[in-house]
Amino acid sequence: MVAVTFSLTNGGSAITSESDHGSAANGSTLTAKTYYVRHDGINSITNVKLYITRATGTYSGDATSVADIAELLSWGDASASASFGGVQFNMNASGSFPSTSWPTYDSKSPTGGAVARTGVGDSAANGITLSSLSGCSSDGVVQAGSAPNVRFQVRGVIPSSEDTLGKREWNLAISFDYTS
Amino acid sequence: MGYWVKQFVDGTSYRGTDEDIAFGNASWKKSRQKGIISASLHDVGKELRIKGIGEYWQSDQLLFDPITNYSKRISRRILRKIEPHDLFVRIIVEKNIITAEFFSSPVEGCVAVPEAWINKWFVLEFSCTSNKLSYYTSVEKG
Repeated sequence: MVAVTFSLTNGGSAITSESDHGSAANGSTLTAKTYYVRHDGINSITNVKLYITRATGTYSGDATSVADIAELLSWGDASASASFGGVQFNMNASGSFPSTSWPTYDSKSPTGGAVARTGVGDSAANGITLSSLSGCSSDGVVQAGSAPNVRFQVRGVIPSSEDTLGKREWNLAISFDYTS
Repeated sequence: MGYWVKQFVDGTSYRGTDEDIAFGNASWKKSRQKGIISASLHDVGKELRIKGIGEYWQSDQLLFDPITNYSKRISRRILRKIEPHDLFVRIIVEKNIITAEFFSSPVEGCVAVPEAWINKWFVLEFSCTSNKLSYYTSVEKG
């Protein structure tokens, strides 16, 4: 079975513990982290999609994993700019992760980016196709190799209207196809 | 353990088991692609089979669980490209087997291939999570 590895450097050690995006006040943006992805398949993996799920394993947030994921997706769904935020992706590595590839309330899926929300990045079926801007060989296709330099950034944005303090947790997940 | 089989027009076949694939001893991509008249996929007592000379593909869909650091297979597929000469199809759905066969002239139990299917991929799929079999068409080879 093909195994995928997330790391913080190209070809680096697998991430084996929680990735902390830091703390910030409402209306602020949490630290963006760059994640590298590779796999051990002989051939490319295809149809690669990113999405978030409720945190599994030991939950150490301040509510529940189910409540957290629902809240994070609702921040992406927001119908007013004051309540917009959530888990955001910037896959434009070739452009040095420009601000234009981060989602905004007015542009929730800009070129090379997206915010997780209902129907987008909320499940494997609705995954966000990994952009070729991330360094993969084409949209959704990650080439074989131990250091393919395929990477993307993830950040959290806290809505300015948010009034509940606390730690939110989510899982970053990936789905893909493989042909032997 | 699952496996797939390609049957060729010259009567030969090529089989790839999950074990052989894991050890690099079999490959769908790197083995013969020309002259396939039938392909099948077998796993946990389920069988998917497509017949009719043409272009075939096989793929598995997997999810990566970052907590366990394991990939989990969630579905397995056999696909065949639907060509303009595929005028009729007979699909037989049984509890553990789906068989689909394409023809250029009508046979008993067949239906006309919808025009919208042409140049798409006909997909037979086995869900590893629900154990259900299904079929559909897709623009993606997947």
